[in-house]
Amino acid sequence: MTTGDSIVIHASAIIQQGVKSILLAQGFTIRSLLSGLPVEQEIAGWKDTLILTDTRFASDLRPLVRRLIRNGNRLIGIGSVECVEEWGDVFGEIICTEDTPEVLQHKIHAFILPKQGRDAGNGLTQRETAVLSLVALGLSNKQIAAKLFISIHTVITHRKNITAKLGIRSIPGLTLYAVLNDLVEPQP
Amino acid sequence: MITGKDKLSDIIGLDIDLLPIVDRLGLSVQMGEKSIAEACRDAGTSLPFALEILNTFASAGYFPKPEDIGLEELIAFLVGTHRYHEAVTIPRLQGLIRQLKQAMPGERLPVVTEQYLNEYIKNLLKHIDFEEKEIFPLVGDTSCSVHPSRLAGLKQLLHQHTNVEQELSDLKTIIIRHIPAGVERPLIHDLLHTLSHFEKEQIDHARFEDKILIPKLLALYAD
Repeated sequence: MTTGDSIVIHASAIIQQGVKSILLAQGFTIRSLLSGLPVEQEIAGWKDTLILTDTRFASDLRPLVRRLIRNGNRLIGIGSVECVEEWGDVFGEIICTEDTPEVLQHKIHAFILPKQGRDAGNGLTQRETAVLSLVALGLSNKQIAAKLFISIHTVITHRKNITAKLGIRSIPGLTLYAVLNDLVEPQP
Repeated sequence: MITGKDKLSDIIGLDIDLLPIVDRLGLSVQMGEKSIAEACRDAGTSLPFALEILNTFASAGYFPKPEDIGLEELIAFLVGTHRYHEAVTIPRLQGLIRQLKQAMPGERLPVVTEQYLNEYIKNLLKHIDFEEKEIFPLVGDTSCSVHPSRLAGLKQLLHQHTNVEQELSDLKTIIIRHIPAGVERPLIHDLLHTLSHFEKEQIDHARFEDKILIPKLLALYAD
């Protein structure tokens, strides 16, 4: 997961709005702002979502943590510095209400960054990089397949992997990424 | 849920992003101490429509039922949104990119970002023009025979919306990843906030068109 859906659970509307603005700036969409935990059945249906919740709900969430993580969710607690030791097994990260906006942004960004992206590389294989360059040059899937001597099906698989790894879906977006990473020359 | 009894000042205080929406509904912020019901009555705005719109923009989980939204009111609102983006959001984004270029002389990021944004804006304005010339007039046109190609244009809209949203989201993702250290933070924050706000508005705008306008128009012409 890079960016995507997020859910914020906190009784304070001010904290909800503060966390929301940081998430929006990081590229997340806000699925729900909740003042309390919903019923277990609803929580069990959450998938691939960044969940930021008041650490006061940690004991209620603890039995559900494994299932939530298995479903691709990531959990961040919202609490105070003291909560870090107490609830470290429930939350992958804890943001503190005392943190400055910059620290909060950094914590969330570092938490969501895929492990592979923490190195200098972008996680793309050589083949994916080649496909990306050709997409950026405006070639169709068929043209890319012919140029790289692979099937169209394989091109599509590479393109899906590129999108998943970079979090960029549109052709103009992929082109911009390719230009900024010196994979292709910018158009005049 | 926002109700007619809530004060305008309270809902804006809780969610500042509602400010342009309130404005687009014809409600003046100077009416802030009035309830939404009173403000709607004074402005001649339909209260049920205003509440559906405000709740949709205030809560990600809320969306009106198509039968609760009148087509003519919806189109007036959508046109108002187009004018707002033309007059406010687009010039603001262009201004921020210009400032970014000044703050990062010789850097490639602001230059290619500007090219990307200009292309995006050109396509968006074309999309807006298509909607206002080809799609919105269909509402008042049921007595005339409508060429099937115009109805096909409705389905074309769905695809265009996906592109409009994705390209904006991608730009934001790329800026977040490629901003070098040392660039003025407030400028970057302003740019990302403006892009995020624009993206959220585009998503909600497209939801109104995809989930209400297009199905209602298709049903209208099926009859």
